[in-house]
Amino acid sequence: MTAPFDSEDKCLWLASSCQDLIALCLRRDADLNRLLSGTRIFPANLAVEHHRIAARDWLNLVRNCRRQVPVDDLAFMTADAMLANRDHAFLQMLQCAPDLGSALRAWHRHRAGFLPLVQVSPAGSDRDLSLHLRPAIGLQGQDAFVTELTVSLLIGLVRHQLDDATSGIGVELTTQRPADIESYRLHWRIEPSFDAPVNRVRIAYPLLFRPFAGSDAQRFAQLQTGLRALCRHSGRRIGLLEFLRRRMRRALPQLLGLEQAAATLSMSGSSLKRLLKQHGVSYGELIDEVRSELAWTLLREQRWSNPRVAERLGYANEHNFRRAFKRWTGRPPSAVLAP
Amino acid sequence: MWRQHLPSLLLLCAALCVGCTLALSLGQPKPLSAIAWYDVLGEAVTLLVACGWLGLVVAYRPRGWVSHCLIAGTGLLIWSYALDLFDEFFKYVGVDHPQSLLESAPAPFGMLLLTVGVAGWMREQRIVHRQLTGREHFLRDHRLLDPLTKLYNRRYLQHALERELELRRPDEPLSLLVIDVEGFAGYNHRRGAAAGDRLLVRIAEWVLMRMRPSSLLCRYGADRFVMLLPDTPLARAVRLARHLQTRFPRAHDDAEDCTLRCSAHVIDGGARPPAPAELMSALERHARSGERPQWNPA
Repeated sequence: MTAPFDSEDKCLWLASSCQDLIALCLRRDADLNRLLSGTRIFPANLAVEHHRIAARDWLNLVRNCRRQVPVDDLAFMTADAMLANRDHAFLQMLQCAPDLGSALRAWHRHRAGFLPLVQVSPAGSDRDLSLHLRPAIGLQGQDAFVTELTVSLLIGLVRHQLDDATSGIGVELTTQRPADIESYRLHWRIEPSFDAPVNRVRIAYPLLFRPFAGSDAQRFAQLQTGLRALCRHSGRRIGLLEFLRRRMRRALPQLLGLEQAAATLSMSGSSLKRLLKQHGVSYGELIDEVRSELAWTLLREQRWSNPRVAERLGYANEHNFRRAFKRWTGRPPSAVLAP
Repeated sequence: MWRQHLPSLLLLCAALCVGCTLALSLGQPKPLSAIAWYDVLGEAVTLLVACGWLGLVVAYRPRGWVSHCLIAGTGLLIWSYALDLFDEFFKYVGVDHPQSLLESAPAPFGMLLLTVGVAGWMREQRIVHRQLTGREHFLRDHRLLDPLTKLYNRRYLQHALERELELRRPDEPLSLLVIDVEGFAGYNHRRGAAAGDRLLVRIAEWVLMRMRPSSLLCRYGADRFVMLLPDTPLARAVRLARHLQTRFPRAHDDAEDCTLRCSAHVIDGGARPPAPAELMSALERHARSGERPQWNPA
């Protein structure tokens, strides 16, 4: 079994995105040395093809860039620059997909090699497809940037390929509502809602099947083959937190114990605890997160009853589940059912 | 600056002339052999330094009581040092010669006046500094500038709007021009982010050249600019909007897939001035749906 992706692991996607980010900041009068300070990236590395960058260094670079270029739309502009970059095989592949549905499937298939920082988990309802975005590793305080970048990539894809049809998309963010949301409106052409329990993007079903403007089946297949080869080279590794969440979810209604989870990673329970602390979460929080997300989906999208959800999540009775749900969201389960 | 101090300088020159004449008329010249040249050198340098002080004060200080103190102080010192220098070339007989009174009495007063002047100068600097930091906080905050186009950003526009709405006369129309670069996202996507950024900078410069100095151009964000035109009726704003729209394709022939869309708005005399936040959201609604802002019946 390959070990999950960790902050010290290197990845191709991070390197190519960091070139776009640095170029963007340099055009806005940032100083290259200051951008790279503390990142273990050297100017000479940037010119090397297939150079790889560790997640920790990428996150440090993002922190430096945000300090040097204090504008509120850096993530949006980075996404635009990446989508326009012809050398970015992963995003080029997404842009020549036949439709949004295929693009999202390809995204999911190649996520390990190309977007290892975010876990994008799909959940369907009768109205729309919702994609939940969670950090796949500890993001060192850059969570908002990474989320905005991911959502911007998705919305950029829709804007360019489906002729600005962003009306079928809804975005919910966990961050507090900022005083000024003009940047979101200008770049996304939609107004996101804030203070949500989980970062998510909702896409109306018809949008998934509308053909892309730049659709090119042959190129799509070629790029996918190429990316698969690249991925094989770098190993298909998903982020540590994503790995644990998946294990936990699969184990439900049984609860996956700390020692058990540590055993799958061939380490001791205390080592896993220490590792998770570096990623800014605790084991209990992770289990709560998985349970609350599943509860949320089952209640709201699948319209399950409380006793059934309680049983699925491994609670002894409905009362315990209701109490836990109130602790996670601040509201009883009946409140989320309200339209 | 020195012209402001002309009266004081003339007075000082007159006093020095009187001093020199007195010194010349009261004393008898010494023979060359009796002159102590080292003393002459030392006293001449001191005199020159005092003259230098006077020069600096006159060149860089505005009129005011602090400057008067400084000029009077250095003037008295110069008087003293000049007479001291004459002392080396002329012989004054007698212990209580009036010359010694003339020579040494002004120096302490001069020093005193200089001290008072410098203390006043320090106080003045403290106040100026306090005022500057307050102003700089508002005007020079780098977070109010868009790092790419070097125009003011949305936050500054908010401040400027607040100020304009508060300070304008009731009969003075305030116009706003919202400039959108249509098709910019596509241009950015096809030509790359670097070309997109270059285009934005060029558009900003091009618009800047076409506006009056009293207007303010801000980058609202992404591909939108907003121009604030104080004391401008709607007709003139519309004329400018039309001018920008029609001239844009010729000035940017490489960006044939982009067009400029300008919409002009006015807050005129009769209209109730809206709050800046309300104004911006009305403009935003207008940009999206074409719905006219309510304060703007035109």
